[in-house]
Amino acid sequence: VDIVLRSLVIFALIFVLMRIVGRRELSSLEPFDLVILVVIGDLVQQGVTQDDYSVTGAALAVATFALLAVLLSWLSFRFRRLRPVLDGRPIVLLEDGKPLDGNLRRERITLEELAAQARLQQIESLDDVRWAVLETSGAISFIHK
Amino acid sequence: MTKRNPPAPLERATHIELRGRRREIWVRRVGVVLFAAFLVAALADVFGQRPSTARADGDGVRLSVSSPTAVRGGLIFQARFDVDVRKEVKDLRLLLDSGWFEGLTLNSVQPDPVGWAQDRGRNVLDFGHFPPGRKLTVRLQYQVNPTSLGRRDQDVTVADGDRQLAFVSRTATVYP
Repeated sequence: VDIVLRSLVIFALIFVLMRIVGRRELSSLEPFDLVILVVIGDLVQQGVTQDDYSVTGAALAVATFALLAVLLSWLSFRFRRLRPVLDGRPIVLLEDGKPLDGNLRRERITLEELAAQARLQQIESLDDVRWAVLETSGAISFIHK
Repeated sequence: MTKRNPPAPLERATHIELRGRRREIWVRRVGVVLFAAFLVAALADVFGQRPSTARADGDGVRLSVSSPTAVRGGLIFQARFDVDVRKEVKDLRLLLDSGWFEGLTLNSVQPDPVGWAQDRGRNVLDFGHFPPGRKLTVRLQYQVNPTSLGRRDQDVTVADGDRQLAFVSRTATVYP
């Protein structure tokens, strides 16, 4: 019971934390962000299993996390109105080569970052882009003119 | 010139002008404030485990209890009891509430009492005769059991035999 409840609380905490942090930070993992994520995983582990070194304990924690992930996915699929809460919504960052400053500021994305993401997709200049959209996954999709 | 619509199913109002989405940013800000408040509370020792000291002057003795009032599952901590004896005590006893033992693993007691009994749910640690001017310092080393949770009374009484000399009332909270 204890491990399942702990897993539930930690899962909820991580979910809220990830929604607060913002999807951009999660998709554009710099080396430092990656290290932070690994460290968070290590810190969380002790809170969930504490002094329980058993296979049963680990299986319970993993099963709880997996089940909750499936549950969230099902809720998002089944109930359309929950999708913005669970997954977020896309945001257009650039229209006809012109950056939408308010939307960029809201997602803490600089023009330089946007241009870098465009270059990664073989786009030379933002002037060549009709739409740049920050997707719910945190990736930025570019649509040519 | 009319503006082009974004690729379906994106909509200008929702995904470009962000109409009706002001609340999202405020929810995020409130979340950040809540996390910050949680950290501030931790820095203010709400979740332990800085020891706090409670004192009581009694009939010929002075009792001082130093122990955290908030601890968390798995933590190791020390409780310290100081008794300054001003008048002779023939049979010095330290009476500890059950809250000092419930859900806690007692690793060591220093010094060992000459006797240890129970009286109406309280643990009675007997240290024998103490002349005036002597001081008794008892240290109990604990570890919090991971499944422990909640608030418990941790009253402490100093007695000479069955006669109460000094009393300290305190509570401790165990956080998960």
